[in-house]
Amino acid sequence: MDNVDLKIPEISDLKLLDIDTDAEWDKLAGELGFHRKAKILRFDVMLKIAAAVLIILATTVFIMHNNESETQTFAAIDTPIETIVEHSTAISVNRNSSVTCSNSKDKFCVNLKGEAYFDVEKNPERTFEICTQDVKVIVHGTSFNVCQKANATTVTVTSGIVEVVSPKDGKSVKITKDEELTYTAKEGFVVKKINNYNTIAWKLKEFKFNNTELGDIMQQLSQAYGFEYKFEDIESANYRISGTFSNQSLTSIINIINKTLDETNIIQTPEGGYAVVKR
Amino acid sequence: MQLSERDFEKLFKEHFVSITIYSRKIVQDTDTAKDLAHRSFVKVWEKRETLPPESNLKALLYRIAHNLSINYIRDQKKYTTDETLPLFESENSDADNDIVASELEAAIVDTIKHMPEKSREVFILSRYQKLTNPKISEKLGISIKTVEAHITSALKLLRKKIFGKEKKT
Repeated sequence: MDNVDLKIPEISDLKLLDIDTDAEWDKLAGELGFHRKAKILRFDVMLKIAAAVLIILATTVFIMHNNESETQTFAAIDTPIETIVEHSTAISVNRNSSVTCSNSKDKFCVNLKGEAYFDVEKNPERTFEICTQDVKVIVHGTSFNVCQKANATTVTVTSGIVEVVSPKDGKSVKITKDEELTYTAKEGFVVKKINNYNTIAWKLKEFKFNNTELGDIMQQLSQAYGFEYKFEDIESANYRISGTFSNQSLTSIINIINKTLDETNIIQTPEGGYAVVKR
Repeated sequence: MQLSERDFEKLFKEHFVSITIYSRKIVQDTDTAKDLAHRSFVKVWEKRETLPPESNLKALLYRIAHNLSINYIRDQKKYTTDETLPLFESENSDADNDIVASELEAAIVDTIKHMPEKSREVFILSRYQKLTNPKISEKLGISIKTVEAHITSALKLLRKKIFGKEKKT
């Protein structure tokens, strides 16, 4: 045993393990008089039922066990969730998305609806596969994001190599760090180099803007944080901004952007979204 | 400052456990600490409109939790002569270190919570309830090898989550 000497600090009280942050939040939200808004869900009927059950349970995780085929489903409704499978492979599931994992002797298979980020532990004995409706992704110990939306699947790799296979013709493409692959039935595989990971900021919490138009910035922020926005001052969508934000809250990012804007202002709308208006 | 309910929720979910742990270091009781952590968040929410736009909410939370916890201890002392109540010396004794330690502990708590059920059970019995591997094997009706495997995988996960990488063996 090589682990015994590892210095992992003790936890002070086992009761801490019983804290259910979601339940505590509900308690506080009730106390402060926040009302729960109805969530707009855009996925299939089965998940809608799951969502209904979930809202009743006031939790954002849905785990389904099926003993016969050993499958597990994790669905995120209003906030991204993270789960550990296969010893230490971490899957972060973005909001309005779900993964179903099935386990067999030589293969660990994940069925993805929506978007998820994977940090896969290397295991030479078993392959790790992710299937979306379009493509199959074969993994050999890497970190990457898969997003399946509106008949397109996008794979973004942050470390290692990932192989993407089209089930239709068996064609496969290998992509590596700093590359993003998009598959559509019309165009097949398209690989492009990327210089930032803004599209997967929902997971990495980092934005790099390099002379980026405000219109694009708002779109990327709204994707990562899940809010609605509108431009009342249309012209301002062309303003260009540069800057890097790492691990900052949406409010502080917006505040900083506002400081760089002279004639426009991003304000919060009563519905909880944002509007870009003339000052 | 502007603080939406959604951002506040995020702040809460990110820091509630570590604030509880931080407060617990002062009041020495988890339930009380949880209560004080709650009150810290309520205070931040109530104050939000008077805060300058770029306030560091996390630092503010810890400061409020610190003060509430110290006040709690002080009030307790008024009503009791119990010598076992924790002593809190200087105002900013080791606040920064305590914050870092609380966040680390919260990360450990979070990792253990998300372990597969059996690994978690075995790990808690072994690490925190100090049962030997043969005792755990007997208690849970699994082989000693399996117990070892669960502990190994639990430690591996912690190592990965806490130290960011795996130890080379």
